[in-house]
Amino acid sequence: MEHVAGVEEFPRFETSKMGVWIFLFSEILLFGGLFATYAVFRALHFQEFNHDHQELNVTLGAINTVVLLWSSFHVALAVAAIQRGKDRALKLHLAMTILLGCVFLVNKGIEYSAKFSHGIYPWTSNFFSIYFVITGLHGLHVLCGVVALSIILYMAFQGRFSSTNYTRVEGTALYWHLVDIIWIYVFPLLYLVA
Amino acid sequence: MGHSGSGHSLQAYWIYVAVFVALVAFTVLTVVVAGIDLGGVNLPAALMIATLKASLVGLFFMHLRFEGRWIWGFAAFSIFLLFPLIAITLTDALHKFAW
Repeated sequence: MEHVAGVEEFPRFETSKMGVWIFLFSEILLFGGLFATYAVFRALHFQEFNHDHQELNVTLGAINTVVLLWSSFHVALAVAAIQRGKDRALKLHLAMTILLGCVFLVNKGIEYSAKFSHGIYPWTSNFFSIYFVITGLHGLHVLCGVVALSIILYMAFQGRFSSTNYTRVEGTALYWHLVDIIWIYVFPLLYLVA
Repeated sequence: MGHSGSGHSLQAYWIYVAVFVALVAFTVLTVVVAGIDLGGVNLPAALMIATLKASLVGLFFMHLRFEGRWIWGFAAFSIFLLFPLIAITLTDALHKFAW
């Protein structure tokens, strides 16, 4: 049968990468649901959104945006390094990515505690409920990414990767980039134009 | 487990650097644009810049520009689903609660 022959031509590494992409698309739709909620809340409570979003620290949000973009840059370089068989550069860039991921989480923690100390909680208003849900779920993704990248770094120290074997590095990097892309939308929608 | 050594997705280092610089520049731009009151244009402007940044990450950092039709097909499908998800939810909610 024709389509079976097509499957055989499909290389194995491609299928594992495609698996990661399918997972990423399910993540897009997960956050898509939250963005839909955001759109509805914003449309129904426009005045409240306009007022409440001014409580957010744009400087800290912008710094975190750059931190996450910077980490994405390093994880891209980690993949580029191992594609060229450069093991030491792989570890260095992975370590930088993990460090920047932790910086992001610390900043997020500072932001949250500032909100709590001002008496702002998820149940304070519609805006802050969607703010805490989106940034909280995103933060959880960053945390999972940091853990996954640490496992990859550990495996790199065991010498498990080479220029012909780096599917796991690539898959984890793709996940990290997606977490970055989600933040690219979260930052303007919550901090800037709410 | 192995990746083919075809080298089809080897991308020069300067491209990664250029993309990162562009991403930071767009971040500055989006903050500046948001500071100017453009009325109804602020939101589409912010979304456009964000989409531009997301495309840069996708094409160059995630190597989408080297991917074949399978992965592009999945990407197109999820984005195709995303728009009605948000648009229909929004129109439905507005219909019920606002009018």
